[in-house]
Amino acid sequence: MSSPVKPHPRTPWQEFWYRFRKNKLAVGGMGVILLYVSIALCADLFYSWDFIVGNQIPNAFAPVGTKAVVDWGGKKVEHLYILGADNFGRDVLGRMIHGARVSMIIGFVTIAFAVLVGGSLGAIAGFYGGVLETIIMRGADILLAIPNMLFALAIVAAMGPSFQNLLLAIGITSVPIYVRLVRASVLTVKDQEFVEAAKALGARDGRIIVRHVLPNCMAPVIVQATLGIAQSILSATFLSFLGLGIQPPAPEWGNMLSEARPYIISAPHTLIFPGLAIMTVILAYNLIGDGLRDALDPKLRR
Amino acid sequence: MNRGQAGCSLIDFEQRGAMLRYLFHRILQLIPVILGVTLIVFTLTYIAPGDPARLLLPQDASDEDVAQLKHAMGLDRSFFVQYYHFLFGYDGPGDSFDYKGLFALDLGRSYVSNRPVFGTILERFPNTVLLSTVALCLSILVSIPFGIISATRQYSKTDMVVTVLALVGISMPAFWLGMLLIWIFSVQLRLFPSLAVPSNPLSIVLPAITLAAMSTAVQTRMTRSSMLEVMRQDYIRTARAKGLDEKVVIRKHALRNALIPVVTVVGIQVGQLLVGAVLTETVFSYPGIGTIMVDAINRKDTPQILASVVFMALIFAVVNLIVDILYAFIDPRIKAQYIQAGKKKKRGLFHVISRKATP
Repeated sequence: MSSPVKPHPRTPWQEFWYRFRKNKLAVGGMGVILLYVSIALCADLFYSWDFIVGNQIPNAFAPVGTKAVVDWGGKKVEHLYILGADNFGRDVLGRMIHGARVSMIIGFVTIAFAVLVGGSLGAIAGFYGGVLETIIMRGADILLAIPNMLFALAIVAAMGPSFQNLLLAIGITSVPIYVRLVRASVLTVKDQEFVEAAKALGARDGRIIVRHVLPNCMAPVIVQATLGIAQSILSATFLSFLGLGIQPPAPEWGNMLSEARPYIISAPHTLIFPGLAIMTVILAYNLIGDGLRDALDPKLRR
Repeated sequence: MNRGQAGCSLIDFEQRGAMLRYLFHRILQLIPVILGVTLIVFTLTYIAPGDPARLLLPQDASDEDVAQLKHAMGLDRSFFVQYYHFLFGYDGPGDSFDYKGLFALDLGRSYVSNRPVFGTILERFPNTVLLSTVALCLSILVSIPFGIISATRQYSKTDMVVTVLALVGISMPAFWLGMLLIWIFSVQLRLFPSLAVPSNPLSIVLPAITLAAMSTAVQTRMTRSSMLEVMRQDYIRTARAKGLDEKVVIRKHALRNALIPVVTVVGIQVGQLLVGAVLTETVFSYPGIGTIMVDAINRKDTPQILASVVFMALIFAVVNLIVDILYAFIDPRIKAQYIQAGKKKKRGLFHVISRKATP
């Protein structure tokens, strides 16, 4: 298929979108993430929080697609368990939808934190060099020497399980990779002519870094951040599975799996669906990451 | 002839000198990493909320009792004194809380079982090593052949299947895969037991598959892309032009070069396997260091948590060091690099340790 000749050169964004959308898998991944994000945003429209954390013991382990009577606000209401019920008779689909909210928040917040902190440190290290660089980079090396998940586990184990500590643990462990990444890019960019020109014009360091250096370092960071979100969500489910993350009755995909574990024989549906949710989200982010890499990184493009 | 040999041994000597320098350098670099890791882990427990002395005493204990116990445990000392104790040992007023320090592999006794914490770890560590080794072998045996097949038949149906499976593999949480395997093979088909013990080889099958899945996927992807890269090189075209059999081209010319980056990835996976073992062991209730750690966390058994985290981080660092050194032996180009860089200062001290597996 030959693309029509454009009369005007494309802007960088158009160029990027033109390349990105050629990768059908990546576009599919993006669709999945948009779907999950909108479901997470509207979670309360589908199921109310009180309903999905409240026990409905008589309906425990109701299979997929069961219509059952639930006790709701003192009244008996008929309710369709689309994906069945868990060991407390709570709606699995409802818990998954509210769990999506937690996972999406964790993914964005931790990586935003890591990119901001790691990016600033990396930019400082790369731009100024010297003792500052040595201190920052050795610190990052030591943090990288501890496996991510183990480090996050240690932080949450020490600080106690709570949502804030979970965010903090995953956020901190994600920082060093961005320090290295941004520093490496800054080193390649900072000696180029346009930076010298900005210096010659008398621009301050801060302005040079923010306006001239960093925009040229964003490509690898964006790719890594996308894969990083997947990693963060995985870490969060892992910690919740071990009982160190989101505490029940608040739903999270990891703790749903943890609660389903003793009932593998009697209620496999409580095990299968939350896991599928985790897998599709991680898969989608990985696909987007691959697509972004192809679209943004000219060196790796075929 | 003689002169040739003399020249040869001179190069050998120079190479060996460079390799020894390199070895020495790499081992030296481990020291700040170890100190950093211990400092971080120690700081975490130091700032952790909750007073271990109060946890050990009955709930109605008076503040005086708590203060007394804290003194006996050395917990009333300053941060740096306590960190020094942590590394080099503690000799308190009583004998019950003495320990010889991290460097003597003694961090005291568990609050729960009252056994030496490192005793428990070292006792169960072989189980984790066994599980990780089986998983590693499995992942190499599966990933490299499939990576090669996938690359040599790019865009074929086989390639599609392998690529998709590898993508699913890197996206699947290990604990979920483990439970699915239990559901299918233990509950439905009744082929394998759902609880794993090291003495029963049959019971290790499912945990090994669970643990190997992620590494297999990562290595398959790496082998495939590395092979594709190599197959594009000029020397492959030359080899084909010489009329060599395609099998020989792949085995002798392509594979040898393609495997070098794969070795690095496999090396990184060794460390990841040890960490992944935490989850796999929990799912299959396998008696390894992962279950020790999780139990300790659930019981707030601080010395045991500290010891297992530090132990795993150190093993991770040492394994990476070994892989790094092996890597230099395998790839002649790296050796050459170190001979050249002998005089120059090498940048990026921890370059391989810190290279993480990004699927």
